[in-house]
Amino acid sequence: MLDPHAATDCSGCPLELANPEVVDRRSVLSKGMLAAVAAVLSAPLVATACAPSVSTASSPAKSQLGAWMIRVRPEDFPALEKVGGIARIDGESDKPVAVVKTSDGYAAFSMRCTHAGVTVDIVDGGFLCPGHKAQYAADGRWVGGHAAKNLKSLETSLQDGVLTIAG
Amino acid sequence: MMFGTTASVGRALAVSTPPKTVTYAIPAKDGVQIDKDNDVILVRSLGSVYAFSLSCPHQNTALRWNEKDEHFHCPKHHSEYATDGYFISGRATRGMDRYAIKKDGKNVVVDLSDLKKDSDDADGWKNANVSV
Repeated sequence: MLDPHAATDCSGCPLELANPEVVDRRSVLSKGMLAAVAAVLSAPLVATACAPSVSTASSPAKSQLGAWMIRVRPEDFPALEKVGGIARIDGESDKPVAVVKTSDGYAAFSMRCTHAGVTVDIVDGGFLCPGHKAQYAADGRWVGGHAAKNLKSLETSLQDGVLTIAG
Repeated sequence: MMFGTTASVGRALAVSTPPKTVTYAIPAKDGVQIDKDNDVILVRSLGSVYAFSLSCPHQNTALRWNEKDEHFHCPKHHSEYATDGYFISGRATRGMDRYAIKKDGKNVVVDLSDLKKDSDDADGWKNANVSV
């Protein structure tokens, strides 16, 4: 069994998942921890084979069961250099998250279509669901296609060049 | 013998029954209501009203509404459906079955003798809703 805690050297790792055991209880139960870990390890931003480290500090994101957070450096994503740019930053995990560069910082959205949970694609200026063609603007608003609510907005905070996204 | 067989598979195949309709007031806001007398789930969601069979299309288990996820859920094999009946995941192989529905003033009239399955009649299933 692959152990996400077994990595000995995670210094400089750009990705830090707090409390990975509860990243997504349902997906862990349904697809297995192995798959979840493999997905994270295969992410380009952790190409140094650096496993997510467990944060022991308490945080608001942990106050609810199933809460999770991701930390990334926006500068690692070329798409985020200009306002309106969108990048998927979760490394193809089963909890897809997009960051959008805004005029005053960054916004983050769950990339799960609010209709039937299909992972949306990033398209020019927004998002398009390949499932039933719901369309969303870059600010997460539903703008057309199959009826759906707006994409779920996620909390973000930027400190020392590191963007923390909590869901 | 034939009647026994028909009865055992439920109303889905009881195509020879005369039309039976049931009328509901159009819900004032988005939400889900379950009519247990007629085994109908009435949904208003994002500008449309739908009437679904309460039965999971997999093995006819009564579906449940999961308020938190805003999904329908089958407790037997954990199939999940969106508010408009689209299949999301699980053992089922099609979306929730929809009854033909018409708007009549402030009401909707649901035809319980006309059940649409997306696997048999994709267009009929898609059109089985009214805009409100």
